[in-house]
Amino acid sequence: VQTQLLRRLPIFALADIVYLDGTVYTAREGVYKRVLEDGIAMPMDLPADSAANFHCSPAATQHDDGSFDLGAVTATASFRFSKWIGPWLAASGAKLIIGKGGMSSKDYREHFVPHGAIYLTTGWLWHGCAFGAWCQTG
Amino acid sequence: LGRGVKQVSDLHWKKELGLAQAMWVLDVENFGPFIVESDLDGNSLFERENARISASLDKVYEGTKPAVLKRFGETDDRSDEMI
Repeated sequence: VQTQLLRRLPIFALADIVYLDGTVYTAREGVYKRVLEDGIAMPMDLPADSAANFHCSPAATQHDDGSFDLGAVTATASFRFSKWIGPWLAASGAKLIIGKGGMSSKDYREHFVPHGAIYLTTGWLWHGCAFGAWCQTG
Repeated sequence: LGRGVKQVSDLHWKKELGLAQAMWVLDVENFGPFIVESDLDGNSLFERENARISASLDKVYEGTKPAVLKRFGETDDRSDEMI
């Protein structure tokens, strides 16, 4: 899926596997507070630059010359961002929220559905058991 | 997952928020795999599968002793999700 200029997502079924091309940005509580609570303008043109918000703190550093060293990128658990997600989807136009463990279907119905957004998870982690069972029976 | 990242194209608010909270802008190609956890109707894959598994939990535990001593705050109701 292309992450830019996503006006409408293709129709996905639950458990579909998705790969992304384009631009993805990380934003979590620090960014949400700055934008939504402190009213500071976003440093990116969203969603034109990207409609894919990755809940992640990369294991990365920036060298003095401005270059980057990127290690692992693993998702962080998203349910903690529940209180910001509605206003954030409205402000950022994000159509893809990428993280770990999902959010609640209440969040999906209240906030994701009105904005035509969906949640992509990096996988099982503490849902390992659930997923294992699903792999066998599904 | 990291193999799908071609490069870091930008980093915003590093000074203000620190490396962990900053906005990292990543150029990605074939970045994944991700699993579709919610659909456009707001359904959740995890909740759907958890409900399916919960339905057969009683059978799995049939004939076993209660796992708790009924002290204050303890529960053996398996529909109470623990986080």
